[in-house]
Amino acid sequence: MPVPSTSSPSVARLLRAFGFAPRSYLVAVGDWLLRAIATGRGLVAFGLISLGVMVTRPTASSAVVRPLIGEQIARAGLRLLPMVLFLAAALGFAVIGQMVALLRQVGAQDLVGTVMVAAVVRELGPLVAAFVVLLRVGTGTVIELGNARALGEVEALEALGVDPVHYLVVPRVIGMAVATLALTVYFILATLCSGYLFAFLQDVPLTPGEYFRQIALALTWLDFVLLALKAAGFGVIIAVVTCYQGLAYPLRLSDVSPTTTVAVVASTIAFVVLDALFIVMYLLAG
Amino acid sequence: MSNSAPGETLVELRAASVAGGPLASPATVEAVDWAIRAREVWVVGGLPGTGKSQLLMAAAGLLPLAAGQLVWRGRAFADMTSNERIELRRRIGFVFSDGGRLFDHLTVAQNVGLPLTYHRNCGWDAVAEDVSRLLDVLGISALADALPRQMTRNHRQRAALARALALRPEVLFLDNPLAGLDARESRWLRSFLGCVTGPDSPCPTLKAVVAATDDLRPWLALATATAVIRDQRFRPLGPPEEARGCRDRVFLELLAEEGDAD
Repeated sequence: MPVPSTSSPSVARLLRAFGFAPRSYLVAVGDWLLRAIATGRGLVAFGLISLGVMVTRPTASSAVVRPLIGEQIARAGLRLLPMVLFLAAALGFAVIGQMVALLRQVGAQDLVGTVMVAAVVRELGPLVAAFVVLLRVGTGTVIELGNARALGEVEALEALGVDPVHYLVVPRVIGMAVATLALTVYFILATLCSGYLFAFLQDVPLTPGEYFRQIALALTWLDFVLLALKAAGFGVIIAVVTCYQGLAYPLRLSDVSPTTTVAVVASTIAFVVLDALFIVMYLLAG
Repeated sequence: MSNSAPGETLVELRAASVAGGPLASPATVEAVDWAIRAREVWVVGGLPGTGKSQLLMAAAGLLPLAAGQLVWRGRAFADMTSNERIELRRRIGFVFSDGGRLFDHLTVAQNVGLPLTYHRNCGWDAVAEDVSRLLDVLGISALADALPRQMTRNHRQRAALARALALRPEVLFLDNPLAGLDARESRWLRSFLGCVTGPDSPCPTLKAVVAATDDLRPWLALATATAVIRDQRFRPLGPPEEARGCRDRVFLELLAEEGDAD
């Protein structure tokens, strides 16, 4: 009679109970890691190629490329402004207003400016604007370019001597960088205003002059520089990741959903990495 | 094509192997030695899926070679800088199969004008006259503001040809251009190609034409050189009158009338 083995590790038993064979689980993790590394390498290479085209051909075919940049700014910036302002108002009421009221209750009203700058200017503003651009425009870009690739339009551009990176990617990189920066600025201004409005409605004894004076005092020149770099950097990440995912392979209908998800996940990871770098810069700058 | 030096070699594939491409088919053409000279009209026949499109794309510099060399006027394509390659592509016109891969979001006039505005770095207005002239020559002026999806296959093919001719190329590649066209449109297209390769061409820079096809019959009156792809090899058969005498299995099959094979 066979004796039941008691030597199996409990983790392996648990994994098997949930339908995971330990070896296949490890293989799956390994596959995922290798794919992630390959995607990362591809993204870096694609980003460098795009940068190379921007640097070496800054004014080439500007009569064609400039209107395309304008289109991208309108698409990723102007058309998303109502959505960003709505989110700014909602966030201002829900979070910032309560924070102001809370700081007032605990007698830390002098910290209003510092908290606002740290929360809204440095973190929330760029991140919220970037996510809105990613979800509303970035995902569409993956499908649009994947479809163009599947229909052979990329080869058609090459056949006409039109550099596909110059024509399809560069306008999106510049357009999304400018649009994300602009939306970030509008988001911050709207959030600060709606936050004050909420505090005012809660009878917090804080005058508008005092509120904005504290914020102005907490801001340094470094905040403006790093805010611009960070917001534009998020825009560049969205454009590079979504263009790469769209142009890497001809998309079939069944590929649309997973490829779009990969683009969102890759962009989110890149946002976190860039955000961490900027936090280090803020800390180093004191 | 009358203003070119006779025999001047424009495009050359040396010991080239072509594989892969947009169809993701396993089609491979190996050991291709092919020189396209001025004043030549090549017709390359092959059964479907044998790699005609890939061969044409490789000869036009649109598909990297698996092995061998692509040479343009004595200069290896692999040695060219990216700007030189762009400059080369301006001298090569390419009409893709299946409606020419027009850009769906642009009108016909914009499709034709795009390479002109891009290379001349100017706005649409500055190229309007050239575009209008080309559309007129191709007989589709009335469709200038139409989107490709609103047009028939015949008209899409004409628009694609207009776009390929816009930059006044020296070599024109046509990938199965008669596929899906009705008999009347097929006659018109061949007559037009006869006109652009003749002495009073509306595109005087054009020096050579290469067409890939899976039906050789309509092309023999126009072609000056023929070849077929058989058993993964590119097999030149000479001028049509010579080729007619050969017993190449694929050549005979591509010449057969419907029902002949039975």
